Parts: sequence; structure tokens; C-alpha cells
Amino acid sequence: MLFNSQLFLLLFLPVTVALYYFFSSSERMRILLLILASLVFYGYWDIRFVPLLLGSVSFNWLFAKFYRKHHQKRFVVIGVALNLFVIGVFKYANFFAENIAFLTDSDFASWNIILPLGISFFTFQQISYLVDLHKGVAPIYPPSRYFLYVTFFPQLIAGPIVRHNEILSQFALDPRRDGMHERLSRGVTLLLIGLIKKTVFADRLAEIATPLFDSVASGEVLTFAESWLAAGAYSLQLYFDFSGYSDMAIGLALLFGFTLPINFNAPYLATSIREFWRRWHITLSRFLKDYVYIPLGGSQYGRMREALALQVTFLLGGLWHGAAWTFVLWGGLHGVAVIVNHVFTRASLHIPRSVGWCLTIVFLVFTWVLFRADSVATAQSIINSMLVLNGLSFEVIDQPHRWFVVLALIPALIGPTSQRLAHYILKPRPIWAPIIAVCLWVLFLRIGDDVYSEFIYFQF
Amino acid sequence: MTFIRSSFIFNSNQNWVSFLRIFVISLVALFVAGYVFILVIDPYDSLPYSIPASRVPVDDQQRFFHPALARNPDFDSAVIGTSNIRLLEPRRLNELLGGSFVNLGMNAASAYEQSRIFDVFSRHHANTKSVIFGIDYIWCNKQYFIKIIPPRTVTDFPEWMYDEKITNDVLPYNGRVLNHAWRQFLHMAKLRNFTYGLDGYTVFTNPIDEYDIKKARRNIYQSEQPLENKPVEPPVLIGSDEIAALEYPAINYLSIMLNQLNIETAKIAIFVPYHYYFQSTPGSIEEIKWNECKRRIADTFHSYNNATVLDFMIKSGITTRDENYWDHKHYTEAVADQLAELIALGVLSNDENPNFRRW
Repeated sequence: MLFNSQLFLLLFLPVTVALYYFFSSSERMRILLLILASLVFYGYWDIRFVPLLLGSVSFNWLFAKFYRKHHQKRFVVIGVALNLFVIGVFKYANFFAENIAFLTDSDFASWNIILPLGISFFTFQQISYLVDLHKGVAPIYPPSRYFLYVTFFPQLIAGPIVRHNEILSQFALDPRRDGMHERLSRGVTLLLIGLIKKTVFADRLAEIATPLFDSVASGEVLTFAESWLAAGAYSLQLYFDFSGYSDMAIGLALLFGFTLPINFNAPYLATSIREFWRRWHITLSRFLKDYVYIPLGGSQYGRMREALALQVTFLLGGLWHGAAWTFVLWGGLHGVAVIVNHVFTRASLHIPRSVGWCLTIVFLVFTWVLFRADSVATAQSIINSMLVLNGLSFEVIDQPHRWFVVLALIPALIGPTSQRLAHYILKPRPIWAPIIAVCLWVLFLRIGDDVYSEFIYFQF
Repeated sequence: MTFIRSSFIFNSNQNWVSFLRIFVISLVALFVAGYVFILVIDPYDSLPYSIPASRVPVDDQQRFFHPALARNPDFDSAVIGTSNIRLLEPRRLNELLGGSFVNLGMNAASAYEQSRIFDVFSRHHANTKSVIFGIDYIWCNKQYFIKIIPPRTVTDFPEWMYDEKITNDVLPYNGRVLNHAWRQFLHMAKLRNFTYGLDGYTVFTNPIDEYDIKKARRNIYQSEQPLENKPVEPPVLIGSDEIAALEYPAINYLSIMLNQLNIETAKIAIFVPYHYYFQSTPGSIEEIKWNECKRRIADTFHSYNNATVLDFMIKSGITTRDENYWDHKHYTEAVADQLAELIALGVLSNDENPNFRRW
């Protein structure tokens, strides 16, 4: 089920929220209700994925239980290895097999493996829990709470990647506690902002970017102007799509009385690539830092080791997004950029903020091409056009809405951010309530007109 | 950890209570009022119980408005097809062929969609007098044998309007339906006239005084200069086995539709008059494919009584004159009028005419 679907907005969400508050006095009933709702939400896509999700959660909880009982590290190691095995089979088996076949010059027909939705998210979440357990910073939670921690539908499919200690204690809180009206109001506002980002901005930008990327994939060559339009439109589409999803997830959690960590903070205002990664997909950056970069040594063992740790972290981060060389290259380039950024900072080579911003944006726009392209060859063709290697032509064919990209720059660059809008600018003035209601109604009508479009990050 | 408002405490002061109350009341009121409005107006005349009022097509989205026309007992004859036959005027057909025609042509309608609108007409007209089927690329090109032809999507075809189940006749709640309800309301209140014909006929081309031969030639030839549809030399030859192996799956839908008609019903197939430059090149493999498709469709029709198959998709005075066309597929109103006369000639007599080939 998609957040931006009528079924979700008109039936699933109101019924779930109403029942949740109806059972608000019983923590047990609240948790069971949310688990059930989350399984319905997840199973609506494909019921076959539900046993996998339940199995994954059950095994991880049991491993945690065994570890606590026997205090043997092997349970954590086996648990993490099993999680990596599951994600490896579903997400990377074809990729590795194809590459082995290529290296050994043998034939390989892809296996028909369907990628379960959200597997990267819920697997990583559970790995972090097992590792924290081993570090001694995580307790054994009651099974129902642990199940809800992993399956909680607002964050199940595409994050934010929430840590156990950020949310599990909140499950015990009565949603009717003080602040309920404010939480509900701000939650609805965030949901609305996310819907606007998705349906008004991301989907329109996709109408510009998708045909251009598809045409290159089918062998055409873009003009200089078209290539920049494609890359620019996609850069904005990805931001609105994913940050819109995160806004909705955070807003939905707030409707149930829970606060989730933010995932975006005006990333395109970053004046360096390091700053960008502190503003973009914040919960993934945090995860990679704590569970990959620091265990690899972080900055503790000299500059070379730090650079290596950074590069490995970003390569894995790239691979996390998808089993393709485009993602590996994308991650690798970001790793190099962050290392260069570190070198400049340590050498006290300061560049003006405006220059830093320009360099960062240009780097991002170029690397998003790799992120979006279906193959390295497609990305190379577009990047060649952007670098005038395919000639200098300002012709743009069949893109009547190209100027929408300029319009979309305003909220992306000037803001305000959705968090600021929903939590600081929004005041409980009566005039705003009907305006928000009208906007939600209009978006609901608009969603009904279109075929639903999935969120980009669902594929990861 | 970066939480939203991590350093703030949410509070439930009276301002937020009022805010939330106004929000919920506004939202519920809007949702309920909007849908009640749609139900009361019943923009497609599709609900079993709705207020008795005149309803007309208020938009050119034929898939939404033609089911009501197809159910209308005032008609006894129909035109089925795509935009290539939408300019056939029922009033003229009534004069020339007799009966009472409704034009149920729908832009870029797939074979499936055409069969669905035919089903509605057929269910509500036990004694159909004549049906004209406009045959074009939809029927002879396997690539278009799909349920809905892109860029249209499933939401553009309201499947629920095309069956007799009341249980699925819950009107969707979206911007399109609300807009149609609003326009229908304007019609009912006599605040606005809509020009979409009550017999399905709408002139969807520009007014003829806006006709520009240069633009038309650009549409036809992708060039302002006329080009020749040069025969392929030497002509392509393929064996009878290969021809027999050609597949035209859409023709099955024609059989399904023809099966629903009475023996007495006049079953008229017309291959639409594409501009000659757009027709398959003589001597090409495409010509072989088209001819085989035409032959199979003609055989299908002639396996039923009272069938006429007229092929206007040939080199003729109509199809070679650029001034007859807006683009490679769509002819002018004047040609549509001539086409109606030629159909009547072909159906009511055994006369031949250089503008059609009788199969």
C-alpha cells in the first residue's frame, strides 16, 4: 500500500488511527493493533513477503534472546551473517553471479528472484540491534515491542532507519498524553507536505526526467541542454520523492504519538560534500558511520586508514542502494569526494562558501546521473552530453514542462524545510486548519486521477 | 540523535484543541459534501437511483460518457471504432441508411475497449438495425493488442460502467469525476451549454477555416513538400506458410461482437481511409501483412449474414488528396460526409466506386 493512495488515505489510515486511540488505554492492544496494521500494509503489495518479514523478525529476536542467555558472541555473528545472507540472496545473488560469469567467460541466465520491499531497511535495522546488543547498549525487548519496532508501517518500507533506543521506549507512552492535539495537527501537516512533495513535485519532475533517461537507454543521444535538464530534473525528483516519503513517515508516526529522527535537512544547501551527507538520508549516513566506518577504524589509525575506511563505507553505501555497477561507481565517487573534502579541511584550504556550494551541486548533479541510469553506458552518454562531448546544442525536444524544474528549485533551495514549516512556522491559528483540510482534499482528488506512482527508494 | 522538536514538549493547550477540531470538521465536511454532490448529480447517468434530470456528455472523454449513450433506447444502430470514424455523423447515416445511429467511436480505443462499448450497446438493443465497424491499425497490428493503449492508463477506462453489476457502480472519488459532476450541474442549471453531441458525434478537429495545408502536409509527410509512397522494388515475396502464420489476435474480438448480432442486423466493416502516404507501401512486407489482415477480417464478416466489407484504405481520389486531411489518419468533415454517402452506396447497392474496394 502506498502512502499516496486513496485506499491508504481514506480507509487504512483513518481506521488504524481511530482504533489505535480507541484502544489507547491498553499498551498491549495498541501494539498488537499496530503490528497487525503493519502486516496488512506490507502484505497488500505481495502476501508472499509477509512470511519473510515475520521470519526475519522472529529469528533476530531469538538470536538476541540466545545471546543474552548464553553470552556467546557467535549468536550475534551468526545473526548478522544470516541477515547479510538473506539480503545477499534476494538483492545481490544475480549481480554477483553475473559478474562471476563475466569474469569466467561463462553463460548465466538471471535467476527469477523478486526483491522483497524494504528488505534493505528492515535488515539493517535488525543488524544494528544485534550489534548494539553485543556492545551491551541494547536490552532484550519483549517480543511484541520488538516486532513493532521492525514492522511499524510508517518506516518499514523506506525508513527513516530508526534505532531501537529511539523508538521502543515510546511504545509505552499513552497517545492521549499531553500534547496529543498538537502532535496530531503537526503530524497531519507533515503528511500533507510529504504528499505535496511527492504528487506535485516529484511526479511532475519524473515526467521530465524519465523520458530523457529512457531515450538514452534506448540508444539516443541527448543534446547538451537535454542532458542537463535530465540530470537537473532527476536531482530534484529524487530529493522531493525521498524527502517527501520521509516527511510522510515522520508525520504518520506522530499521529500515533511517536517521534522519528529526521532524514533530510535542506541537503541542496550544503556547501561541501561532507555537509551534504549530514543533510541527506541522515539515518543511513548515521548507520554507515556507526556500523561500518567506525568498526573499520574510523579516524583512529591514521589518515590512510581513515581514507580506506571512508572509501569502503561509501562503496558499501552505494551497493546498499542497488546491485549494479552504477551504484558502486556512484558510492566510490562520493567516497573520493569526501576524502578530498577531508584533505582540504585538514590542510586549512578554505574556499568561499558560494564556490563550495557550486562545486557540491555540480558534483551531485553529475553523480545522480550514475544513480539513475540503467547502465554505466547510459550514464556515460548523458555525462558526455553534459560535458559538451556530443556537441553544443540548446535544443530540447518534447519537453513542454521543462520550466517546472526552475519552479521546483525554489522549495529545494530557499525552503523552508518541511520540519521547520510543520514544527516552527505552523501555529495553532484557526485559519490554517481549513486550509490544510482543503489542501489534503485536493491532493486526495488528484491522487485519484492518476495511477499511483511508487517511491524511488522502495527499490532499495 | 536528531529528533523532530526534540527539545520541545508538545502541548494540548486550547489553541491546538480548536485547531484540530476545525481541521477535522473541515476535512470531513469537504469529503462528505464533495461525494454527496457527485452522487446527487450522477454525472455519467450510471447510478440506479439518481435524480431525474437531463444529462449530456460534458467532456470529450468518450470512455466516460458513451456508456450512457450506448444504453439509450432511442438508438437502434451504432458506429464502433476509434477517432478515425468519429466524424461519421449519425444524422447523415440516419438519412442515408435508415435507423437511428449513435456514434460510439472512442479515441485510440483498443479492440478490448471497442468490444466493451459494443457489449453495452448490444445488451440494451435486442433488435439492432445496423452496426458500422471502423477498422484501422488497432485490428491489424499485434503491437496494439493490449487492453489499454498508452499513454492512457487503467484509470482512463472506467471498467465498472461497462457491466451490469450494481455492486461495483460506486462512483470513484477523484478530481475528474468531481469536475464532470460540476459541469453536469452547470448543464442542469442551464448555466452552460456543452457542444458534445447527444448522439456521440463531436467535431473534434479544428474549424475548417483554420485549415493550413502546410501544417497538414507537415503532419502527413513530416515535410511541407508532398512525398511519394514509392513501391518497393523488387516487391517482397513471402511464402503462403509464412502468411498463414501471421497473427491478428484482435480479430477474435470482432467475432465476439458479431456473434451478438441478429441475422437481420446489417454488419458493415469499413477499412478507414488513411492518407495514401501513410498506407502500407506497395510491394512491402507491410502491404502483405495488411492485405492478409483485411482478408481475414473480410472472411470473418462474410461468415455472418447481411455483411458488407468496404475498403477505403486504398489509393483513391480521397486518399491521395492532401487537402482532405488534417494529418495522416484524420480526414476533414467534408470527407466524412462523402464517406457516409459511399458507405450507403456500398451497403444499399452492388455498385462499385473508385474510392472503395469491396471485399
